[in-house]
Amino acid sequence: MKLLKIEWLKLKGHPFFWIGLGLYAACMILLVSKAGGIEWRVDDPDNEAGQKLLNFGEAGFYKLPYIWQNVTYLAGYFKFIPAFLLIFFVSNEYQYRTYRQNIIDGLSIGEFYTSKLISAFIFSVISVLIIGVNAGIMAILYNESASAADYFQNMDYLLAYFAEVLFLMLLALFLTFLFKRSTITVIIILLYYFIVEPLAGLAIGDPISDYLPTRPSREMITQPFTRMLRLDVAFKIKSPETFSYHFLLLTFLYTVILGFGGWWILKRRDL
Amino acid sequence: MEKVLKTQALTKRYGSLTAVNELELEVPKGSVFGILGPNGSGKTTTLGMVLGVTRPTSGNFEWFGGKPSFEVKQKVGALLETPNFYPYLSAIDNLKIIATIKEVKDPDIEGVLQTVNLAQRASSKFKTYSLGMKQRLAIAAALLSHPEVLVLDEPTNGLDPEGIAEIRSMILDIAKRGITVILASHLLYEIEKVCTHVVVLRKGHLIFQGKVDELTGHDGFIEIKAADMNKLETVLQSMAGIENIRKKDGLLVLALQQQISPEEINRSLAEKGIYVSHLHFRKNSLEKQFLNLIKTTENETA
Repeated sequence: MKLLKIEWLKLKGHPFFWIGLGLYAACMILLVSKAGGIEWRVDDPDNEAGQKLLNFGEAGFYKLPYIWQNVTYLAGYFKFIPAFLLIFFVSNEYQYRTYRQNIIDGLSIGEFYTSKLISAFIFSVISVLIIGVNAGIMAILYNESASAADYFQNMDYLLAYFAEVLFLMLLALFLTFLFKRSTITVIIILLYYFIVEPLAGLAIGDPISDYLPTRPSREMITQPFTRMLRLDVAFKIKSPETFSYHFLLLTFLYTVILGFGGWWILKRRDL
Repeated sequence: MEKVLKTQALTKRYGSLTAVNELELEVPKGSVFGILGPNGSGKTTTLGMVLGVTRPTSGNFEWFGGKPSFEVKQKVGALLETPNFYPYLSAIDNLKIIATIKEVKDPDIEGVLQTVNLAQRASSKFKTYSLGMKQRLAIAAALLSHPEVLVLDEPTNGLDPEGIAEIRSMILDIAKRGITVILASHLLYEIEKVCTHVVVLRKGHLIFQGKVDELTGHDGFIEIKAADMNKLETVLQSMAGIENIRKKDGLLVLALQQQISPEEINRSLAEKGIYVSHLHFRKNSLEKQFLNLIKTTENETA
């Protein structure tokens, strides 16, 4: 509780915390509410000659139980926003030398680290809440005759999404403690996530590439669109009915490893 | 006498560089304890180690005769190098964080801000503060948990004369309350003005430990003049306790050793029938003594 209170005092006084989260929430509301308007050209079975434009809304983007997968998959691309906020706040502790002052004032290194884990957890919870509430509202608007059970079906995608975001938070935390600076951490995390690991994955090949650190978290929730647009057959794939528990487990494992990794870095270093 | 801090063979190496070498310190309770040394002599590294932010390579230290712990940190208020606060928060919010960390029940935030003359700017953000105000806030923060020891690292660095005087009188006030103060500085006159005890560090070595007046000593210079300068010089040359004599602007300048006082010189001269027309005692400048001390050690170690 003491650590939570300290984090809260540090965060709530910074305008960036409120502005950042506000913008993030606004982005997500826009994303989720406007996603239904995305149009896609599909083959029209009624019209032998051609195709027709179908938008996501009509294709069933907001239909239960698929809405949970649709929304969490799409929101996954924006999880870097809270991650960057976290990187910003933690690297500030180095920049302002307040990390060292906190230790002088009485926190142990372990307590300081725990307080940052709490922050990572809080940011993940906030992200899930924003996405969950958003998806829930859209589900209510688009599914008039749904029963409570219908809502709960596949709601566990929110849990998978939480694991995905928490993993990224821990990766961000680990890299921030490693590099101490926000700019370099942001560059490294983007380079690693979008270039280094995908290339390494190609080089290694399946199935070993499934065990690279960020792969499980990004593959856990699969793209929902081929099924939604009835393109599974065309692309010769079969969309799974639920997210991969195997990848969920791996993601959780890597989250724990990163958690201990950050601790290991802090323990060994002078402040 | 009770010791608040004791170090034993405390050592810190950075690669081949030894920042602090087998340091043995004893800080008596109730003292204003100066750590004096030029930049890079290991002052901040030493404080960093005893404050738990720098890992000693070897050796150990004890606060209040025991191992470092949360209780020790509650009893020690400290700032290292610069005042470190959250720039986007007000003084009050910054102090709230520190009070939470130190688990101070009902912190007297208003009171400590008043002690350091910051009550009027209590709600301003830290980043709007002048350097002097930042240093004062750091002292306020250190006082928040009613500490027994206050550790200050170069607290007057970069301040204007008014700010320096303010901080110094603040330190003396704090010392009067019975709080032990450990003060690191590269300014000898600062140490002389506020400290009771002093250690001198050079390249991580302890080269002096004692009371401040032992460091400053009695030796100095005498400028002297008499009607018969030649006779004066001959008599002085035969006198014990005078290191050397040189002529300057029609005066003789005598460098004194500790065992001879201006009075004695005057008396012996009078006994020999020489009456001086000018006698001026100049205390050896402290900076010069400090440099002498460092130079002597350098020769010894060479």
